[in-house]
Amino acid sequence: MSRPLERLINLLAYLVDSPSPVTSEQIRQTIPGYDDLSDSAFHKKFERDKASLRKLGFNLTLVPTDIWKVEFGYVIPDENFLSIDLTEEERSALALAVHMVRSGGWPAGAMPLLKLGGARVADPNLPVGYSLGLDSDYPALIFQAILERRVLSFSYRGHDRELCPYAMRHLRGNWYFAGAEPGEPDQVRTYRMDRAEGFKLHTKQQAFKPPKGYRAQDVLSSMPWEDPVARQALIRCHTRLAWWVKDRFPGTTAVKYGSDPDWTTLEVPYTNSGLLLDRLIDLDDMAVILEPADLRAEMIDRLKALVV
Amino acid sequence: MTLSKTEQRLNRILGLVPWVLANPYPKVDEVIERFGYSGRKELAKDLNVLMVCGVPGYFPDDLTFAQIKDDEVVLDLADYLSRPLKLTPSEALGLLSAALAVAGTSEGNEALDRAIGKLTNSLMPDAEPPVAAELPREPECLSTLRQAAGEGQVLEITYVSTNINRTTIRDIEPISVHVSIGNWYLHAFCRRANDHRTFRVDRIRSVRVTDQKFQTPSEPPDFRFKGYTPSADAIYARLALGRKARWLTEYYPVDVLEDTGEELIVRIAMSDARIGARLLLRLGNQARLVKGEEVREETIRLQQAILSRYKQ
Repeated sequence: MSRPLERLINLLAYLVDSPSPVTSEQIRQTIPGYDDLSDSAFHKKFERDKASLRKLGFNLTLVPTDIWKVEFGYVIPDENFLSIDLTEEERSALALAVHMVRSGGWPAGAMPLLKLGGARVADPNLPVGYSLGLDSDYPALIFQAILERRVLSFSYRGHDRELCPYAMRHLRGNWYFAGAEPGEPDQVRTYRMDRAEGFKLHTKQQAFKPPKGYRAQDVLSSMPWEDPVARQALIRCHTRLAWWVKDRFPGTTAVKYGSDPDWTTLEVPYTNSGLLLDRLIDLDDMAVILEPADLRAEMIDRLKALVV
Repeated sequence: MTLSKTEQRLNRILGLVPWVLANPYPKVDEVIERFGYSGRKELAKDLNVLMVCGVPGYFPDDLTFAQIKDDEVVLDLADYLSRPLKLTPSEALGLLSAALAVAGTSEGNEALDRAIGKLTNSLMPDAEPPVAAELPREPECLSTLRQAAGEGQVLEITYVSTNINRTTIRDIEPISVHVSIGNWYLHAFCRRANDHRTFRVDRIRSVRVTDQKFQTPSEPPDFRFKGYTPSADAIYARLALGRKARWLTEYYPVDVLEDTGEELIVRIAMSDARIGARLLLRLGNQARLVKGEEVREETIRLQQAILSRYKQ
């Protein structure tokens, strides 16, 4: 009785070593562990083994064994193998990166790194980590569609969409992906992954071509909610909390204003008035907008609009 | 996608064999470390499997030779596994996005940039990377927090609590710093609370390194984000959210009670009524408070307090 691991390695060895496609009958008669099974037991086991290999990255392909196309056999095409030549230093850099980015609490890319030859992690107890929200299967599915240029179907806030996805981007804790509807390559739209569901990949590969020069940084390159030009607001806030505003709005400077040392006037650059108002509400009544007048009015309107 | 134990072992063997063939007679310790084996025994177990595998015929000359000999790993007749396997989309995304995210931080370096270039090229020759990953700006105190966590130094932090006017000074034993849902968090043992606590780094007013030491945990840190879990004395409110306020459900722990199409009725838990009050003021006419007396009172108080500043 052969064990699954041996059977899988022998199956791979057979397919890689054979100069011609191998039929399932040949596989059955050759590989220890298949040869003593009934028809249905063999098929069940063979299907399971193929699924295991597929999970690891092997796509067993069925091709005709001769020009008459009567019989079909399996091959492992060359594109199943990796051609990448990393230096030891580059591998170590990747190992560190992979170690810092966590998925469900643990390194997300440790297994794939083994395929590249593994690497030593300099400091496995490094106390800094990042989560990129790779716990769900969706990011990988979108990425596959991008790599293989396959059309993606999904439901977005209750509406069915079809998209030729060009690129994806992780920003502010969320994944975004962008592309265009089939036939309208220049009408690029952006979607937030966690608002989409029911992803399906169409089977056809190389179904579209992204516009030349389209980069992942172009996904959400202009934030629809941000004014491209930074404006200045004059905010009077409690001196004790000036650091809070400075931390959240880089470029904030204190200006002299009035004589009360408990209060400081700050010049705050902002591109998104809604965000500035949100952040000021976090300061309760310890901050007040002096200028510009329209921002001041926006705050008053916002506060008065709420009826409790 | 989760791999079974057999699949995980095969994945490691498929990485191990090409590497040993390309770097013959490596030291056992290096192989163990590089491929994450628990020890010699586990490595030997995988080599023993290879010894009974090979190409059809399965005569001694067809079977792989794999052994530990004089502290080196010896591998022969394994040409069928000499080429590393390509990355699956999920693996490629895991590697590439991790590398891109870290490249934008103070940990980034030229070797990482070159690795990103090679990875991208192997996935999509002559194309721009189809993925980008950015982390929030590193806080100024990051290096202090990180060093203290690594060396076991107790820190004294001044922390701004929910009440913006109140800061607390705490002695903490920092364990790890991590980014989740776009924010920096510090996980630490708080000596004041005598329990583990997660702090938002942007609410830390100042950090001082004390001369006290603590024993750093021997286990690698667990970076799983522990969101807010309502305690027994949590405050609840029922809100009706307009279309533009529906995002709330993605960021706050809420129970959706009803969706009328026009409005989404949710129940939200919080540790302090002020959190609900600020949320309502932020949402303006996009939300209504349906139920929750404590939150109502706090909202009215806060609304009047802020508006009075604008009357001056």
